[in-house]
Amino acid sequence: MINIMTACFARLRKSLIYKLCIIAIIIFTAMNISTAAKSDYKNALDQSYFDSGPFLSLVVPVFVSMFVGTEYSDGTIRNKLTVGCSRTQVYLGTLAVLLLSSLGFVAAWYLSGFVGLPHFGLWSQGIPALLLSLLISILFTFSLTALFCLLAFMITQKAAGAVTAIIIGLAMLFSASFIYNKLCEPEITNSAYIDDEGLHIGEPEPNPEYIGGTAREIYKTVLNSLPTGQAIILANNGAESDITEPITMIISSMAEIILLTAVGSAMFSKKDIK
Amino acid sequence: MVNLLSAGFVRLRKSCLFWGFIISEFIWGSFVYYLTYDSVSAFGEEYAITNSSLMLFMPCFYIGVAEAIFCSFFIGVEYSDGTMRNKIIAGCRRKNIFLSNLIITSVAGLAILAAHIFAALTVGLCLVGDIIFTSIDNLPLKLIAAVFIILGNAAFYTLLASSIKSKSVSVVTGILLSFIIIVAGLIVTSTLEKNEFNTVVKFNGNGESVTTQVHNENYIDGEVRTVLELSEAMLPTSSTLRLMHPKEDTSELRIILAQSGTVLIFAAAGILTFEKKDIV
Repeated sequence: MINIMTACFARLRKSLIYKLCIIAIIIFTAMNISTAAKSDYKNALDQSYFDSGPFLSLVVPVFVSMFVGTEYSDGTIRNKLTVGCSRTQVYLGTLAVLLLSSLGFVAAWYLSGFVGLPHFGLWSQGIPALLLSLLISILFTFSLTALFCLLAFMITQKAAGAVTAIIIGLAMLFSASFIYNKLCEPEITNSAYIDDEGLHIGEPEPNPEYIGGTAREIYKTVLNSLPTGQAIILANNGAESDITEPITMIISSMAEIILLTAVGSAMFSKKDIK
Repeated sequence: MVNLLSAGFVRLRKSCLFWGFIISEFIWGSFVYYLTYDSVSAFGEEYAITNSSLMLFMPCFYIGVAEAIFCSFFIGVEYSDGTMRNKIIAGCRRKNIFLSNLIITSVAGLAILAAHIFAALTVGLCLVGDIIFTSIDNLPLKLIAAVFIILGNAAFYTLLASSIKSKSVSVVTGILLSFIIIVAGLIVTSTLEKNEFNTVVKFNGNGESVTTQVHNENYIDGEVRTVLELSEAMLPTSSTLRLMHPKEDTSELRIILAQSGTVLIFAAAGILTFEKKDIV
């Protein structure tokens, strides 16, 4: 297990795609916060600091599928098994390195966000809330890594694995965004229009798009459980929203990591790797 | 060239990925027209009239993602299986190999658009009626513009897939670039569509609203606007947005000219790059 992790770390240190992913996160975060600094609508660092979370749902599948896919295409996995490593060791060793590498993504995101400090000052939500956001960020990145690690180990072909992972990552992002937008619908709406006589505001009416009752609770639980949902909640300044359920986020992420690791390890043990 | 094309079309006919895209596009197109039917039932025919261009030219917006995946796999397999090397050993010129691949990927892209139009002709006509076509001004010219947008996409992703030997690197790069192009198209179009003057509503002492026109600070003009307009014409996604949401100043001929320029530039760049590529 230690040998497998050492070998994976050596590969990670030399991995061009890992460095490119880190650079992409840094550029995305820095550009996003710089744009927010010029905007009239954003006046706190928190409003743009967490925007890179959803971007990770694109970066993680690319990196994980390429990293594990290379092990298949170069025959490294077969070699590891031939020299006596157990399949569980191979899976867990690789996953452990991938989880640590995903910490690098979160670190790149949080540290590059410091470019906003000179303009905005410190985070308005306070240090405890920031640490909670950091914990949620780490856990949902781990959850994404565990999911795409399972997927990458199941698909032997590197290109097919990469395409599938990217598409699943995007599908998860779009579905979370759809649920979030549904939950953000106001319960009551006012119609307003402008004509030659000026501004007219209509009577308040119930919004037919508003989701209430049990359906709202289900939507909220699904959104808080999905790693991409957590990323979207954080990016939309979730700390101030009634949609946010930090405990659900933390518990569901931890459950997903454990479940996906167990399923991945069990499936890889029975996989025909030719 | 004819032999290369014959071989390519045989591969295309047997490609699961190609048929997967065709079937998915037909199903998606049918679903879009079913949703339109649903909305027309709720809001009236005005909905179909307003959104007919959007529904018909929708595939041109995301065809880049499909082309990125298809070109990477179709050309990537030629590299990984050694077919590319065999073609050169058999005496085929590199220029012909690139052009034949470009024609095949273009046909694949056009077939995806055809699948969407087929959904419009069957499901759309049956459920919504001929209003989905009759409400679109300059339909033939818009269709030609859509064809050129697809050719532009095909040329770009064929160049990319021919330049990168590794199938996985090519597919990841292609997909990421296709999303960057989509985002760039949205940013360019939204920037150009900003009004020069904004309507500001203020309330006077009597509680009456007074509307005034104020110059928009974010309005782009001068040289930057010219550069953005050129980018809008060259980017397939922003050109598609013009087709999907036509304005009074929308010129199909401009889109056709700009996209044919894109095709020529990428085809020429592809031939030059592929001529000098080290195919080990």
